[in-house]
Amino acid sequence: MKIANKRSLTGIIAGIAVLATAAFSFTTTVADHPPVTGDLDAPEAVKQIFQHACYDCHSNTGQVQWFDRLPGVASFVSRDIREARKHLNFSEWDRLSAAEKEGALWQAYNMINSGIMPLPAYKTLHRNATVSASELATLRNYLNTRRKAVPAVAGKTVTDTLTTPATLPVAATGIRFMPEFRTWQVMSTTSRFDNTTMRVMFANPIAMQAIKNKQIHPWPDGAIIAKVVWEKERDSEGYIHPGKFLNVQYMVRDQQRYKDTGGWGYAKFETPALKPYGTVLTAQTCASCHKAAANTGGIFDLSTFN
Amino acid sequence: MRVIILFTVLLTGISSCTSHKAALPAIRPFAFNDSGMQVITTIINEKSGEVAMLYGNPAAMAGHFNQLATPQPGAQYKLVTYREQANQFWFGSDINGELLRVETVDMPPVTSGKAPAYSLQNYNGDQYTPADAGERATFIPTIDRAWYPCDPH
Repeated sequence: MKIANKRSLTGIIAGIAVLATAAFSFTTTVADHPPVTGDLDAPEAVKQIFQHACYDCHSNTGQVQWFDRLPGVASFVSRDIREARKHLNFSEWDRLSAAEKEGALWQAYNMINSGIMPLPAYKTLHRNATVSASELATLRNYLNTRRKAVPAVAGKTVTDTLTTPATLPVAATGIRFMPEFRTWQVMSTTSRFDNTTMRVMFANPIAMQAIKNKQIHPWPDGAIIAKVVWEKERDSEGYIHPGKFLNVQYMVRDQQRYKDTGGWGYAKFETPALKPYGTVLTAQTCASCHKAAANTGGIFDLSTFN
Repeated sequence: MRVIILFTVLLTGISSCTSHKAALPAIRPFAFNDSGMQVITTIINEKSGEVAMLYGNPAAMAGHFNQLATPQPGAQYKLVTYREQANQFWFGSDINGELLRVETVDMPPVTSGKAPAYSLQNYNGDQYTPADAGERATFIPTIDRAWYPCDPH
């Protein structure tokens, strides 16, 4: 066979491959479009930001580009959309409780502000998904209208009983309740205005040493953070104190054991009865949210020089 | 060729999003050493933008747990006040910022007949001074404790 013929044959085969790829790209279904049961309820300016930044993956109405359908890429995009909808679907906003809607709005802002969302790879190819500084300000201004205030109460409402369970409860992740956190150093204290809680964070000696040595990228195995959460209670003079006890949460560092959740194990014990909350899957949700604190190795509540 | 380049860019982008490593922010040093004291409670003053942690030594904690009418001799309390600041990592949360002051109250032996001793240390240019130190020394030990599970521990 002559060289010219070989080149011609190669060209034909390449042409067929390109045509086949193009045909595949235009016919591949990357994501289905279930009906919108109830869209995000927010001012139009806010909604538009979420629409261009989040809706492609976090709604039933997202549009994919032709290159999202390319072989090899389509499966990644399809998986991301499925996962995104499971986590938050703006087209099924009506299925969320009032508290879940509030939580989703603040979390969405924090994920965007931290640069975790939209996914950097996605933003590279979908320039319209980028959220500008002025758009972030628009979202912040909107959220500031949703700050939660704490009303004053006439007197102390906290039941002053002491409890020590006969056996310490264990969470689904295998983490047991550790009362010894009371002897650990305070890492920080926070007052939330996206809800009405206040918290105190304690760090075990390994975690505290890691903070002091600035060795939290990654945190060393054995580091543990405990977070105690109460409802805020305002007294007659306006001061806010810990009111009703809500829960204690733990983050336990073990890179191997908890490799599926970013190296952190999560546990939460609710009410004075210290009832373990959630399943192993709940820990995935925790890990997903804590990605927004990537700058501090997954820990939100470290005080910085702002 | 364009498809190959696009493919490479896509895969590079996808892999880069999983290997993100950010710069470490400037974490505040821990200016207050609790020296083994335990937290009694936390008080937020929204008007002044401050948050205070009240600590107690074992004698002070025992007084709270046993609901004693008056603090035990030897009890020591430290009210540690910080400026509140926005939490850099979670919009929707304020966090303790720079240390402003540490107020210490020491309960003397009953036989001494002395009043509780009050001392104050200011930090970072804090100008606070109590109008009545004696009143302050009487007030701090009476602040209600927060409910912690498994106390006393």
